[in-house]
Amino acid sequence: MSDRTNRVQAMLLATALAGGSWLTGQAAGVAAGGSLANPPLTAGFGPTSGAAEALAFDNGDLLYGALLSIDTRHVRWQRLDAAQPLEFQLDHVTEVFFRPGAASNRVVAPNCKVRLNNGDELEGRLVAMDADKLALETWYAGALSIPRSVIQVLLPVPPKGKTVFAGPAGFEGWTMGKVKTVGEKGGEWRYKDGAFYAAEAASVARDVRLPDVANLQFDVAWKGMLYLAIALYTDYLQPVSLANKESEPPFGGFYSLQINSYSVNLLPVTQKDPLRPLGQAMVSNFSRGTRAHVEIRADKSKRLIALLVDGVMVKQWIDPEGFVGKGTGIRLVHQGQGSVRLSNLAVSEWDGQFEEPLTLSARGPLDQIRLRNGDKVVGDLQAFRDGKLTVMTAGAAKDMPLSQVKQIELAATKSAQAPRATANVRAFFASGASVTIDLERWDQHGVVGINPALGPVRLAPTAFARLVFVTHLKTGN
Amino acid sequence: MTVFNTRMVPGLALGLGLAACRLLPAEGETAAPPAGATKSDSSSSRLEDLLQFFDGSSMHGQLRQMNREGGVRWQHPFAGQPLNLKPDNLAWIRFSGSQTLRTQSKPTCRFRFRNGDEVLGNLTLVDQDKIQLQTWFGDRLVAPRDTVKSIVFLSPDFAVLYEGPTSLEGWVHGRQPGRWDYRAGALVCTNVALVGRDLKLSRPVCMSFDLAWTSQFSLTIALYASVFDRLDYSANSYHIYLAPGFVSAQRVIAGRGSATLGQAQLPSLLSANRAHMEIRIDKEEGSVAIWLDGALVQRWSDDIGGSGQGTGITLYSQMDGPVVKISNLIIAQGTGQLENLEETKAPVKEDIVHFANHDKAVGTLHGIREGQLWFAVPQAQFQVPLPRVTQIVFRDAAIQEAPRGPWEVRAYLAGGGALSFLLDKWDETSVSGTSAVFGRLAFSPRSIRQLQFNLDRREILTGPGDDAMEDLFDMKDPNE
Repeated sequence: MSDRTNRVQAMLLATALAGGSWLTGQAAGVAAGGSLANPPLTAGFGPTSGAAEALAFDNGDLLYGALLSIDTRHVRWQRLDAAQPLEFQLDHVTEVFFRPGAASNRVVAPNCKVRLNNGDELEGRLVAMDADKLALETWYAGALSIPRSVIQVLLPVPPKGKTVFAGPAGFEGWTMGKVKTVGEKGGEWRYKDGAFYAAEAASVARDVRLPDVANLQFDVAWKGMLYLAIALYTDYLQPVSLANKESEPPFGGFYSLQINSYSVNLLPVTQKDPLRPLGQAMVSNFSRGTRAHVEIRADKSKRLIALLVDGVMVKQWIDPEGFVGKGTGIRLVHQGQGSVRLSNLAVSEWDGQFEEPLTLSARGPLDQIRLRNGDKVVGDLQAFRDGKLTVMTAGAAKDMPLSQVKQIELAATKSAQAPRATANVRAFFASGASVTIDLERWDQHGVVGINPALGPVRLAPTAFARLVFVTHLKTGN
Repeated sequence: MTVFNTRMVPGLALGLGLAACRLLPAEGETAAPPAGATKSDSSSSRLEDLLQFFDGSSMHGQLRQMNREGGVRWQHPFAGQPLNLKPDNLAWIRFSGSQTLRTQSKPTCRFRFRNGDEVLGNLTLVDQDKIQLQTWFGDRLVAPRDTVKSIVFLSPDFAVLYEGPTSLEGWVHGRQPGRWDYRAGALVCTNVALVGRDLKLSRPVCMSFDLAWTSQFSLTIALYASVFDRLDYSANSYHIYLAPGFVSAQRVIAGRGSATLGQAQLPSLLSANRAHMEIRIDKEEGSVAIWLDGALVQRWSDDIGGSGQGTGITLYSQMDGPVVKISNLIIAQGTGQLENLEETKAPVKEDIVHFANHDKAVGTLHGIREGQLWFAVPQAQFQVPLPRVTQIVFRDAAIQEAPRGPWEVRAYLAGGGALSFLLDKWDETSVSGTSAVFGRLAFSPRSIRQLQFNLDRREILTGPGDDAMEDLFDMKDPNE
């Protein structure tokens, strides 16, 4: 994802937050797997921003509003402060960004991503597959029948982990810490509209029942310096002075993830053992920006804690001396400098597997199936039906559930050459997958065009998070 | 907790001393780079006007027409027809081709009004109820005395040397691989880079700018620099070093290195991402003063001798990573005026007159007429020739502040000054409206460098290209 995309999406999120309505009430409800909340499509925004989609031009202009339509020559755009729809030449439009969450109002839960030879990727529910075609049920295009010859890879989507906490929705259930600082009075976190705010040293903690294999994520925004410490797997809900931890009231071991404007560090903390930093990592997003999405993943059995910032792995720490965390709580500590806001906090179970970049081998005459347990099966994938794959391998048919499979790379001999791309648009789903379209029309009724691999398509306009015009993609504009 | 409320008001740089400028062309805009310097490109220059919305949208183009019935008619470069917009969501329009006005007579005063307006002109009369002045938009204007906050009498050599940026033109890039960029009225840097400019500085200088940043930035500003593509230690100059939390000043002494004049803490910057800064250096008197968000932070004395020799400035961002942005940069110079342009934020219960010999009187201003000032202190009344007066601060007066609609605009003028009025109409030749101070107004729109709408609103959610800087939230107590 480009830097510009990150920036604009963050801006869209900021606009959405400013509107405020979809964080109230359910307070940033989190989808089953711990992904960010899917706000209702009708959620309101600030009266001035209207439906906060964004239109970007090649001269750097950016307009919030709502996309009305696209045809082969023009984009029509709606703003609440414009008397009539605004019409712009399509030639100078580089991207259209849609409101976060609007694109994921799916009805059919996907269980598989299908990557085509031309790089397109479709997400949906894999219904069946035989030697000739694959049937994919999608919420954005109905039932798709995809020729097997245009498919390169199948990527089963792992089952979503159970969400154990989503918030904050207030201070109920949280313990406000008594912060002791030298020469200054301690502060407190404040709550408003689904977010905690702190401008002075402050601590708030909660037993969120952190799973043994867990994913904790939140959005953080700051002014000035960023100094934040997050205690993981703590059984103690008051802040601990690391300099004087031996004299603190009794507490069980925990991990302190220390975040500042430049770097992160992880410290296992026990009452009696010396502090032993597990290693530092630089985070450029913290120095260049004022907001980030933070994901912390932990696996107790592997003594592993990992940090991802804005979807990018920053560091994985392995505690060589065993997992010290004794509790299931978290503690959020503002270290006193700068101002910080935390929102969209979610804790869920994690399957222990990191997302990996797609790795393709030199495609041979057989299908290659990588299982989630690390095994690899090479053979002839004959069919998928009733939730199971049937593979002929070593002269015998072997069935395997889709849920056990991480990646299926189809044999090159079964593939056709990637069709020549004639598309003018690459449309990105919320998941990051994308399809190319030779776009004829985009309006509230549908996205109509021709996909180089699938032929004529009609897609739901709400399917997409971002639209990039290929001319500009090629020129890097 | 005001530290979280340091939003920039477009044109805020006109505050304090820098509005006291004459209506003459800015010399620095046309200054050529020195031989051998890397000439800056202007590929990213914006030659069109820029329209900024409060929701973070922005677009280039040209203002065609504007009136209260029809709204704002804007020609976007990629739209076939002009766009018709309501003003409710407009923050400002920045005009790229604004021109400093030439007037028949050089203004001798800066008038500052309680509604935030600043006007350059000549004072003709003050009595108990009103002041009368000549300005570029009216010969015999009368304003209620209660509306006036202060009058500064300008020195003859006071001049604004630079007002911008509007592009990179005239700026010289440093020798580092990194570059400063120009974006939407600001110089922006995300890496180690230097940019400089010859401004023909020679007298006491006042440099004012809006500064925005992310993270632990590090910025060195050299004034009276002789070389514009690097930090130079071979000639006398001043280096101001800015970072979150503190500022320091150094005197560079030709052939002898540098000496620190002092350091001051700026704790409010630790919890902020933007501030309005002013650097005032009077090399003849040997003083360096730093102002932050309208308040004096520190003044240092420079008794080293051999004052700054160069005539330009350099901006040196010394960190790779943080974003540093400088906008509303105004550089003015003038003899003997800078120190008198300080205004207190404390209540002013009596009139105050500052004199050229640095004395001041506190009492009641009875009036000014025929070149004489009439003033009363508790034990006496006196009369002083006006040339001996440098500044008058009027006692506070209660003013009614009614909510202002979107058509209440404030025009920031090329060459200095700001004027608010209820806009009636705007076309390519004339802008007209009604000022709460002066009544009906009409003048050429070409003198306006920025027009601010919705004066009671301050928050722009985001902006193109500088989203790293924007306020996501106002960190004051959300429950207040």
